[in-house]
Amino acid sequence: MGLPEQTAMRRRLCGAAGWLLLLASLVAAVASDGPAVGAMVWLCQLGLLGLALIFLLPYRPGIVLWRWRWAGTGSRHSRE
Amino acid sequence: MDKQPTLRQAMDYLHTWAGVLFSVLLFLVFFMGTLSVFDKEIDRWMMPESRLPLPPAVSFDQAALPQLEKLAPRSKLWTVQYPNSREPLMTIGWLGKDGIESRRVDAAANAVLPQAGSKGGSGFFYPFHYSFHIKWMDLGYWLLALASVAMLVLLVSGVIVHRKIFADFFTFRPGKSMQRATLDLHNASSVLLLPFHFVITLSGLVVFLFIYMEAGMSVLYSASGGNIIKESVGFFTRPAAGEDARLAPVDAMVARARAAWGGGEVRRVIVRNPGDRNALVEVQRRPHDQVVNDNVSLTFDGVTGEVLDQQRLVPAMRVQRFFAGLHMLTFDHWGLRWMYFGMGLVSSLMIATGMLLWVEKRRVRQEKLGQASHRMVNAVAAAGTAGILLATLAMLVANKLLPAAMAGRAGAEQAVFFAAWALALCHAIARAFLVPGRDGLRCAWREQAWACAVLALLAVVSNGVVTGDHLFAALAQGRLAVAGTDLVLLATAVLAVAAGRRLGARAGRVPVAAPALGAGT
Repeated sequence: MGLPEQTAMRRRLCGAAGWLLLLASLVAAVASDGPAVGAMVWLCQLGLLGLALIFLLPYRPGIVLWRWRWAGTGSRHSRE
Repeated sequence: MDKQPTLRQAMDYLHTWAGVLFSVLLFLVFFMGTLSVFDKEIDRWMMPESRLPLPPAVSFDQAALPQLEKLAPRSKLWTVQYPNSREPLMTIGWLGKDGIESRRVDAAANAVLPQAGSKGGSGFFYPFHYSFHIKWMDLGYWLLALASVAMLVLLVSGVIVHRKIFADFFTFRPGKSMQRATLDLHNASSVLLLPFHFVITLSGLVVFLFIYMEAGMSVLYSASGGNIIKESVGFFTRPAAGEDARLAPVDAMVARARAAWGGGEVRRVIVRNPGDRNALVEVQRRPHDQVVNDNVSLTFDGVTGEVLDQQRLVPAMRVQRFFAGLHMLTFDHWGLRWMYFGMGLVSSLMIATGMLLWVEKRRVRQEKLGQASHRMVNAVAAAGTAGILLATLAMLVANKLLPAAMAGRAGAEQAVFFAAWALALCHAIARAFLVPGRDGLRCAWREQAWACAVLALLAVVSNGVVTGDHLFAALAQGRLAVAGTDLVLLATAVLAVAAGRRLGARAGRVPVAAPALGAGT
């Protein structure tokens, strides 16, 4: 995907944050629209947002590929 | 001895050829289905006299009854569709000698509106979606069933074929070769919306359960003498008494029904045997707040106003109506409605890119062998995708430019659609075979994209000029259906220009040999 290397801990933290975000958005959708419609809304917006991300990726490298400096590693990854 | 094909190879073969055979039909279904998501809003755009505000209160006795007594005093069945936020008109209907006839009524002014002179979105695009306008022996419904089953086969085989489904999740390389970029687009649009594709296809089949299972139902129910519709839906009926009697005030019955439901909106009132002592009035609730497309109706004695029955669906029917509600979005939710529209467009893109991929893969092989069948498939693909969009836009322009008083205006609009579509096919075939090389394949797509851009802009401009409801006026007056349609047409024009420019830019490049790709990667 072109993302810079991450430590194992940071990878786990990012993964956990991602899952937490998905769960929070599901809870918000269900609370707003009830279980049946809320789950439907959540699934639909997940797919559409994912598609939007995929289609934007090639045109907006700055959003995803960034100069990183890792505290403690001292490395700098350049823009691809 | 030839090696037996693996499961993946077999599924690849199935996916390729099922796709080629059913792609145009499937594009039609998904594209027209996408338009049908906003069929009522398209009605407002195409029928300017229907751009009315929602009436604050609706009275059957004052708005519908006088018209029905004048137009159909002897009919055995009256139906009245109540206005709602998407459809601000009342529609009265009756059983005539040639079937159900209907008129639209301005419920606030208690006046019948003139005939629309257009089928609109709900009369043309929506029936096109589920029956292709082929009524003979229900052939349209059966073609839809075949296409739906093919779609399910394509989805399953597509998942099996896609070797690196998770590794390729975020892969989209528009700058690469045509074949690579098209495959990435096809994969991305199909994988991320896989739940939608499955659910919408399966629910579409379940909606027409009573047509597809008719043979089995006839065998089972004719033996016992029962009526499956009556048993599953449970509506109350009784024969006419043959004695005249005046209908009791229906507005009072409607108020009683709404009180029994604890609030809610009325969807429809059906009067059976009006003017007879055994008249029945059924008041149906609009399922605007639930997924199940359940009417939950109350049936009243038409003369005394006494409650006779409360309809409840049997559990199996509730499941069918759940799928129907899921498919047709019979409940109110604007966010979900726009998402269905977006997902329908992406599904149409998935089908179109599948066709393009087939053509591109075979172009390389067939050009070496001097064969040209891929050119015909390319022409059919162009006419079956861009051509359908072009025909739709041509119909919208004709809707504005045809004289309002013209006899057979609705038929003329539809004739414009089919003529434009046929012209698109002839154009695509001519360009494919008369323009040599790779540009011959892109020519038709590019030129039809530009034609779509011009027609989309013309539709917006002509709406503003002919009706006075240009985009800013429609927004200022709160006519969001008209403004929304204009905005979508403008977005269509922008995307069509972008597609035309990109196809033109690719045509100008020096051709590069496409990398030999393994099947499905």
